Amino acid sequence: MTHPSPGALLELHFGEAPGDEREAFEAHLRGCRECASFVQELGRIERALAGGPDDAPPRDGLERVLARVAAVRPARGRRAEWAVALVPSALALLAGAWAIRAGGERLTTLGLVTGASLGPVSGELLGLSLAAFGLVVVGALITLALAPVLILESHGRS
Amino acid sequence: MTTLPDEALIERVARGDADAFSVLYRRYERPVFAVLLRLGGQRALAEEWLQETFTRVWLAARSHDPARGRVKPWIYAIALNTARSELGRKRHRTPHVSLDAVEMDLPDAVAGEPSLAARLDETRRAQALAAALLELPDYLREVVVLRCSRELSFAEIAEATGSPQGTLKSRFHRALLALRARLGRGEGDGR
Repeated sequence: MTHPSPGALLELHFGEAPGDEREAFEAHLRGCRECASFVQELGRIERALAGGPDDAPPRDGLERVLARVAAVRPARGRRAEWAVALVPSALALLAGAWAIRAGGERLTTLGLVTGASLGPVSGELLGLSLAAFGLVVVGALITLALAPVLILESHGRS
Repeated sequence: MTTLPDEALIERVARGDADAFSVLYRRYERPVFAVLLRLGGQRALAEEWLQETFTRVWLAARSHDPARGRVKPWIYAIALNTARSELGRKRHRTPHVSLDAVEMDLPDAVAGEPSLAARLDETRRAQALAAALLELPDYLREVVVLRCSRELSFAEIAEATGSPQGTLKSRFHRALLALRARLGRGEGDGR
């Protein structure tokens, strides 16, 4: 007698055997004590593993998970927010560098500052001061523009 | 929301939707907990792993790729990985798990209840099986616990574990032989 493979008997027991094979296996089981005993044993193990009243998950499980997520999220969220905040900072730095480079020269060209009255580096210094001020203003404007987005993002994650 | 498929829920979870996460949690907490309970053998362990599993589900929701697999096997894969890593750590601390150390939560016996003897007999059998299961290597125990939970087909277990179906069925068979030997010996000892 040719027996079905253990894999085929497992498929049969768990209802995964294709329809045509299923009928052939069931017919085999009716006449084969060895295979029938294998399938019965499967059933016994499955029943012994079946869930009981002690299998109920903890009642406050969801709350505990949410609390744990809330504890883990801020650390990760902060990293992301810092990354986002780096963009306006980098833009402000670039704007500042441009202003430093061109500011003093531009002021002198426009005649707003005369090198003679304020000394040889006065135009450059004034340009630097204005550039620093411009940098602060640009940074503040960009941060103000991004703040609602960051706040909403942060609330969405928590 | 409760009728949404898993895939739609996980997309929402990825966007930080706590309500979608609650629905997903309620959908899977019981079967995943039952699997973890049988893998770990202790309720306290299973509770800890359940929390860890769903924390990872929330945090990894953004990285779930529907093209690479369905949500259900993905959640079970996370649960399995949690149990494996925790069991590995535990074994590192205590190299041998004795059957005597296995904690089982026995239901309270009610005096005079007609089916008490039958219940205790059934409980003892389940207890012996649980103990024998814990002695199996992880890769054999996992396939028995997962398939007997009736939550996952062999195809889905293959998805969760990354092992081919043929290998899983072969492992199941080997586990069955090992359990039969262990339980037969146990019954013999008892006589």
